[in-house]
Amino acid sequence: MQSVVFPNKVLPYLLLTPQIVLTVVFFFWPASQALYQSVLREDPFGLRSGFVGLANFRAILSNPDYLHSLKVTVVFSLATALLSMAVALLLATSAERVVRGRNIYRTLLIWPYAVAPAIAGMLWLFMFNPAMGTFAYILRRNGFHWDPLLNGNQAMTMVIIAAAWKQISYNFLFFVAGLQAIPKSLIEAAAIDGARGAKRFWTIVFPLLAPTTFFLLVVNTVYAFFDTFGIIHAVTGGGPAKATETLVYKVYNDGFVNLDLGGSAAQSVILMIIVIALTAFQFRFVEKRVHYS
Amino acid sequence: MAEITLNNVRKSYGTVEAIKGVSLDIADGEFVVLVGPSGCGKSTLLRMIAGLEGITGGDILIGSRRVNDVEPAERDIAMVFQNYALYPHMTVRQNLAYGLKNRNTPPAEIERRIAETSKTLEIAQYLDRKPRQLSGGQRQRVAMGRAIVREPAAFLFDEPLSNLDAKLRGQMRIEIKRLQRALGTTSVYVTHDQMEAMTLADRLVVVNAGRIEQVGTPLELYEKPATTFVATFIGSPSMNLLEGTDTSSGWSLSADVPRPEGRYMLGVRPEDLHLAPPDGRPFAFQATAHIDGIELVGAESLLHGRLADGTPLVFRVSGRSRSEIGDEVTVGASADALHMFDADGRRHA
Amino acid sequence: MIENRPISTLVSHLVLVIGILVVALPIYYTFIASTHTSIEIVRPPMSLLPGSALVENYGEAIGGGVERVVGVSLERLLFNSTVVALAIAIGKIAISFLSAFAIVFFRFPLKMLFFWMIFVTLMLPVEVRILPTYKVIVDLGMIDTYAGLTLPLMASATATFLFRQFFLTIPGELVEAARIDNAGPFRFMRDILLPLSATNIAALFVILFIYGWTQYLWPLLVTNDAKMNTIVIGLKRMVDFADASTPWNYVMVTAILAIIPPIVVVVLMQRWFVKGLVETEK
Repeated sequence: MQSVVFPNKVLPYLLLTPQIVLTVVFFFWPASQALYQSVLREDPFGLRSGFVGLANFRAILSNPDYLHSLKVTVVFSLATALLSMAVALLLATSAERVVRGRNIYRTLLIWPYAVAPAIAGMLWLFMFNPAMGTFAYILRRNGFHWDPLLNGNQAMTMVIIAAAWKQISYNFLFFVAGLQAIPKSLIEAAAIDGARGAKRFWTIVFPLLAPTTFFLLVVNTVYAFFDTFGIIHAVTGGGPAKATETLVYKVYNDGFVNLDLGGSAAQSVILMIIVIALTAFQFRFVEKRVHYS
Repeated sequence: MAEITLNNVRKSYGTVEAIKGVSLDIADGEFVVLVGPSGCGKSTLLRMIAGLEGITGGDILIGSRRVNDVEPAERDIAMVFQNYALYPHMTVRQNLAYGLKNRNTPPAEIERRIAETSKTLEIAQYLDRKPRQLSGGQRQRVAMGRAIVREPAAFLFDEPLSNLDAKLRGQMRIEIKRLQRALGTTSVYVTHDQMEAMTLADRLVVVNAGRIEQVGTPLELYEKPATTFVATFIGSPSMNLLEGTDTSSGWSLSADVPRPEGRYMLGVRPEDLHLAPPDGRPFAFQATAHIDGIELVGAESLLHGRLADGTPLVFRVSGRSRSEIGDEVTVGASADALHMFDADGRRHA
Repeated sequence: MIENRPISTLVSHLVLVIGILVVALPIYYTFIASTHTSIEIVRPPMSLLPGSALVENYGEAIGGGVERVVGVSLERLLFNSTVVALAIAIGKIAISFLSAFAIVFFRFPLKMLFFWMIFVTLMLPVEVRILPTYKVIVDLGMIDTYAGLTLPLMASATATFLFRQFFLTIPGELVEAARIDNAGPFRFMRDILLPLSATNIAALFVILFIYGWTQYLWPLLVTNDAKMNTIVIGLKRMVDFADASTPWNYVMVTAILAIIPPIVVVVLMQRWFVKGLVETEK
């Protein structure tokens, strides 16, 4: 904390008012409503609701649809995170190696950050839509049976690629920053010790990048959990046959389309727990695994 | 222009008392230096005068006004900080003008004062630069300028030279003293460097553990330290202190030297110890030391030795030492060079 | 790298060029599509060189074409997105700046309670409490309003957190110097804190502008009236792969116009954005 402070008594409360009001109205109130709703169940006409304890949670956690959705989310999130990070790391190490044109490369690589996830999904769909996409046409003409509207695995592949594409810029920038933070003297010591090329990368650089990598893994997982709603909604609508129905998509679908308030609220609560766990996990481990300062 | 009075000033943080009742009168135009080891409370005292720290008890008066609850800006003081605290986004000119502008000084007057101050401090050519474009010494001058331009009743300095290298520090010391004399502004200066304190101060205040140990001119403190703390803090290398008991070995004191009853401490400065009596009369004090270290510091050498009971003893010889490590050497001092303290560390009259 | 190895440098350049091609491909493809006629677009393979219909497509799409399809003009969609993105960016920066100022530079009862109230929101994105938040907006009568589109998205701690971190690095002596220079809290905020925060504000502006512009779920829920759609939602409503009458040339134009403004902001403010991004998240 700052040791030096102004002595005013009332002013700090006034300064805090806007943020606290917004936080209470749009955060604490809704979050508490979600908690409250999650232990209620409405009758089919929505006229009355009664306390059902943890029944909604039990129902969700024993519902094969929900477990399927959980599996879809995990596969989708990990695949997106790993694909995007692998590409970004390759680009970042390459960018570190070149001297000329580094800034131009960076400028050209940060575009996707500015593209809305939903639009990123649509852009890839334009190219790979079986009816009109030029690349879908090329795939089919080469004998590949491509139809993401019917084949769940292909649909999944497409949303993963779109989601990973959008995240490349972000990961690239962090890997570049991470690489620049590695002390030059360590690389020089490794060079003198005779470690070069791939060996130097995997034995020296990559371990030193661990904090960045770990941080990005968490951020990308959270991104894939929540921010990719737009991609799923705009590209596959959770289909075909729920093959791409992630947890967030299901909260939306059960709450706004199927109007199952209690179930949706209980799912929200589970999601909150997952995010809190991920964040706590990140704080715990990222802090501890810093190799250099 | 103003005198500053501290009246039994106290400060506690929770149950910890940092300042334990300090009273001090600083005359108008006087240059007073607060000196002490780090954590002794000297900076806290200064910041209490500035109004940056609240006070738990007692009174602070600037001029004849009680300022306990007066905002720092209204105390008519200016402060020079250790890290200069220049506003990094403002030019030197803006930095100097900011405090005047906030007091609604007319623009023409601001211009006049900046011109005058920057001439005095020789920073006129940097007026349109930002602090980061200046060297450490130049920044220090700007920080001084920001204080001078305000024409306050008092200057408060919080270790302003500690971020400079030794050579610049020496130059700035002289310059600060010169400026203060020329302006005649009451100044309170905090430092942990006793050398800086000795050269700058009209009067020195030695602070220890939240209390004033002694107040006096540099010479008074050097010649008549009131406590063993002041005795060892002022002067470099520190005064030797020997514990006087019946069993003390390795040194002797002639019987006609007055000493406290019972246990006492005997102090003698390294520069007062000699290999042979300079005036031919026998030493009142004599000690035999086993040399275990020799430092040649230019015109003189410092010899580190130990007495038979292991007590360390340091003394100076001019030029190169003729003794070597491992030698036994006998040194002595005359009676008027000896400082006697009682068992509590207080000076024996 | 220390050794000078031309081949490895060449490979690096090659990897980067391929990377850029992959990154640019979807955008390039869409831009090319926006220069072809609707018939050329739906009949693969579409030429990957610019077509002849650029002026025509953009002219028609802006001049009422999009309005006939989704009931709202392209200008209006762009205007809405701009309003939403700017409101979120500026609003969030303003309230965060004030609250971080209060938390760092004052000491007052219940400070830690407020601190945690704000910072716990770091953890929960709007997506996980979507239904109850939607109900709040309904109850407040904010459906189809700019307030409804933006206020809930301002209730988050990221910007407050960044400002707080930055304020904590400001040396205490600087604040004391300001106090001695007769600067009270407001003067200090305006004359010293605000100018010193300029870089952070610029970086946050980019990040939050993008955040606001790319919102999807929230504007989808709180806008029923097409006139209040953002361009991302408007685009989604135009796209229907099953419907043969989808005006694909307008879709492509809208997609390009939905992408360009945030890209321009990111590229032009790249220096601050990159610094801010890396610092915010760490």
